[in-house]
Amino acid sequence: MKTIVQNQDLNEQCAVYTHKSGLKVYVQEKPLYSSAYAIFGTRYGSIDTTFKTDKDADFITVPEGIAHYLEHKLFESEDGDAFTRYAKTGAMANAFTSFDRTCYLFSCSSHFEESFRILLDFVQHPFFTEETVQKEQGIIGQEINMYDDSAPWRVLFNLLGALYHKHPVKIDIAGTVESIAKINAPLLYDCYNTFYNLNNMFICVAGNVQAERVFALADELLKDCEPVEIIRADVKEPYEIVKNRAEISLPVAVPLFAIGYKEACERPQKTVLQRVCTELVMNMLLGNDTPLYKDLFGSGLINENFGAEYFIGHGYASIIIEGESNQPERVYEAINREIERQRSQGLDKTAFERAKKSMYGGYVSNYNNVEDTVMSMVNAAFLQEGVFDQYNCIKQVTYEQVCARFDEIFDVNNSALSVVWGKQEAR
Amino acid sequence: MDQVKIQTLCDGVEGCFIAAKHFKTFRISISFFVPMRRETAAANALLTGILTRASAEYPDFTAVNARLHELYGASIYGSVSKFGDLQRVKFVISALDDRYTLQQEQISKQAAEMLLSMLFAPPLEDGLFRQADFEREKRLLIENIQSELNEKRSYAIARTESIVCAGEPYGIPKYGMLEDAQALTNQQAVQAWQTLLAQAFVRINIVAAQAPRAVYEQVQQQFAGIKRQVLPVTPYAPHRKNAQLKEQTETMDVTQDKLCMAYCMDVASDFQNRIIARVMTDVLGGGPYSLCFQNVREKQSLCYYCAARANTQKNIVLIDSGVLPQNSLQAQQAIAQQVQLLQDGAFTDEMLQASKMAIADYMRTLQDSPELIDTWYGNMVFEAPDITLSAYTDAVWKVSRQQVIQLAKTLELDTVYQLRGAQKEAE
Repeated sequence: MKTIVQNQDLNEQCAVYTHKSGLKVYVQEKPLYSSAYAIFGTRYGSIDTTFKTDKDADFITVPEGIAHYLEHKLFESEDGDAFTRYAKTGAMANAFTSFDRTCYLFSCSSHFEESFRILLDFVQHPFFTEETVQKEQGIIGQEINMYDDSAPWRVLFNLLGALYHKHPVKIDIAGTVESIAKINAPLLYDCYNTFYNLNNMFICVAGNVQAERVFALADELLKDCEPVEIIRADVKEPYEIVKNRAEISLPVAVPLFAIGYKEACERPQKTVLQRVCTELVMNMLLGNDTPLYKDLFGSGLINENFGAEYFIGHGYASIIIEGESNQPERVYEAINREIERQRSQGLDKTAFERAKKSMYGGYVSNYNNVEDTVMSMVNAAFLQEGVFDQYNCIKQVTYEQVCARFDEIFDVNNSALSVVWGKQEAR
Repeated sequence: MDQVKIQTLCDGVEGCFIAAKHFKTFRISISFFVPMRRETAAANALLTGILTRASAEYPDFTAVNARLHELYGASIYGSVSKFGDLQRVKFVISALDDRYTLQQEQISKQAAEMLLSMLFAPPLEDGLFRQADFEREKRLLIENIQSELNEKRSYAIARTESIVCAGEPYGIPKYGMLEDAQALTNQQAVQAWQTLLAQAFVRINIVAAQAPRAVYEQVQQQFAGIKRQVLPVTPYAPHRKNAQLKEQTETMDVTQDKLCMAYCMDVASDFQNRIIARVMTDVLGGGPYSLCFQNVREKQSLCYYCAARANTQKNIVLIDSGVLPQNSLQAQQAIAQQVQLLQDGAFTDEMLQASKMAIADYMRTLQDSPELIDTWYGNMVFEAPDITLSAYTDAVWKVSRQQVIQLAKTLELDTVYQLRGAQKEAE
């Protein structure tokens, strides 16, 4: 089945094809562009550690970091690795594993079809032996070590450890040197056969391509497979945080902080309206045009490295604010005071109009390049939403909806502060 | 991309219009090139902040930011970088193209006016920057310099460059020295600003759908009131190999060591040679097909990353890697061995072909990003200002194996820098 979704305001359209396996292929043609960008992704990330299919009797729990490990190993086949094949097409290829998804991608400005064939081929043909699995432990171990030295990474995961009791989002995406030592070929196949079922996957392409040709290639290259139903173990994550402080010391010049406001998750995913409203509240409270920012930045409590994100995925949601400060505690207190002040006085309507315009501009700008266009499609595919749902929501959202959302979030009594102090400031 | 047109706007001020109708934004960058000197480096770096946070019309940073949000989330920022033996102080505004505003507002003209007013008419008191603004920016500059330590990979690269080129302008850090930033005065900052306007070579890049006549007129008006005396700019001052191999080790509390090896090469000052250098460096340590990736990472598992980059303004090739402490010496030998293989011509035709394909692909891909287009034409300003992307790509395809080997034979190890874990030193 094929459908075309149009957005006349943006002069963009997306063609969507549903393969018989249930996999959807999204294509946005950009004939004036020179390049193309493609992602073959699965709804499988580091948080999927305990699961079963409808055909299994029991849940299995796999070692932490296995989704990322699988991503590394999938590039290998009996005939060599996928990078060697891509080297012949000139495409730039990569992959990433996040908390809830794994994506294989390439960008190119010629030989799209050859590269697309490579992508669909290696992702659908796993080849793991005990020997090749063992070999990867050294490289991934070094990747883990590299992140151990990264203060921004550590400050985030320490915060997640303070916010979450049970949810696997608190575990490092790559796992630990100890956990990856338990990974073997049969476990990788178990994970692959569960999560790389086409029914759990999606393909997104944008750029100088023809949708019909991409759909025809997908039809030719996607293998027949029986859909499986994936059942993720229900994580009973309490609403309350674990602790409200997490501190370590590393060699950093200016201390780093991360503040998190944990939210309840009645449903596994937030709606588009909830996401848009939350982002707007964040901008109205913490944006660089707000009274709070003026105080913090003007008084030297923060520097230019200050920002917030709505950190959400399957069964977890938090607002996370990160930055650098010599006095993180004072920043935390000032933000909490401002939340309470705005809560009692009400959000500023002019600030809402500004934030909405800015968000609209940011959204439209995403269509400037093929990579961001594909990432927008990936989000829609992942959440099984329409590709322009977010656009429509931004245009239509009202001040009253944003105020109502503010009542549900930013619980100062359910928040935590994580700090990475410099060695000299350790306390 | 339809066309590129470079024209002189006034003495030492060039405009470069890159017509691009397929983007949803427009972008203007104004780059000031001045000789890199220790006495002025920190002051120039401070200007990137102080000039982008207030203007006569928008008296503080929240007023500026509020205005930018009203302009659909437009962004203004400044940056400083080293360009051979020059310092480049760059200011950028990027905003939504008028065609995509909600009420057909003409924001491009307003945005351009805003940027120019900030650069040419900052709020002054008694001929100085407002003292509070100056103090804030000085603090931020100091924190920026100190924060370079937070990211160990970029810190190690910057340290290596400073060691290689000690005593040369390029050896000065891009933000200047910490002690110079600490001693900076308001008078020095104002002097630096006046020097930029009166004596810097200026390049204005505009990536937009519409011809920038109105912007050019505004620029000419602004410069009309300034007596220009442009300083000579000579970015190509090759580094001469240090008489003795420099080896420096720094210790820090890190899990993964950083190893940087800097080689000198002899690139005669013609453009074709620089293209050969780019191909040669890519074969050595570019994509997954390269010697370093294939052998040091994949076959020997000695590091997580091992990448080479060429600085053709200084004739340096720098190879950086992240290694386990116990592998450090072995990795050093392995990297040196890859250089030897390159010099011996012991690389496959497939590697060379893959490098050329990857570079050619990238050249076409960068036409799809306003930022990359701006960067490309900005970097070519003294080298080959009017070279088209396709002419560059053609030259890449013409690079022969023999040319690569010939240039590789000029590589000589100049400096080895290691950032090592403190505990390992004690062993």
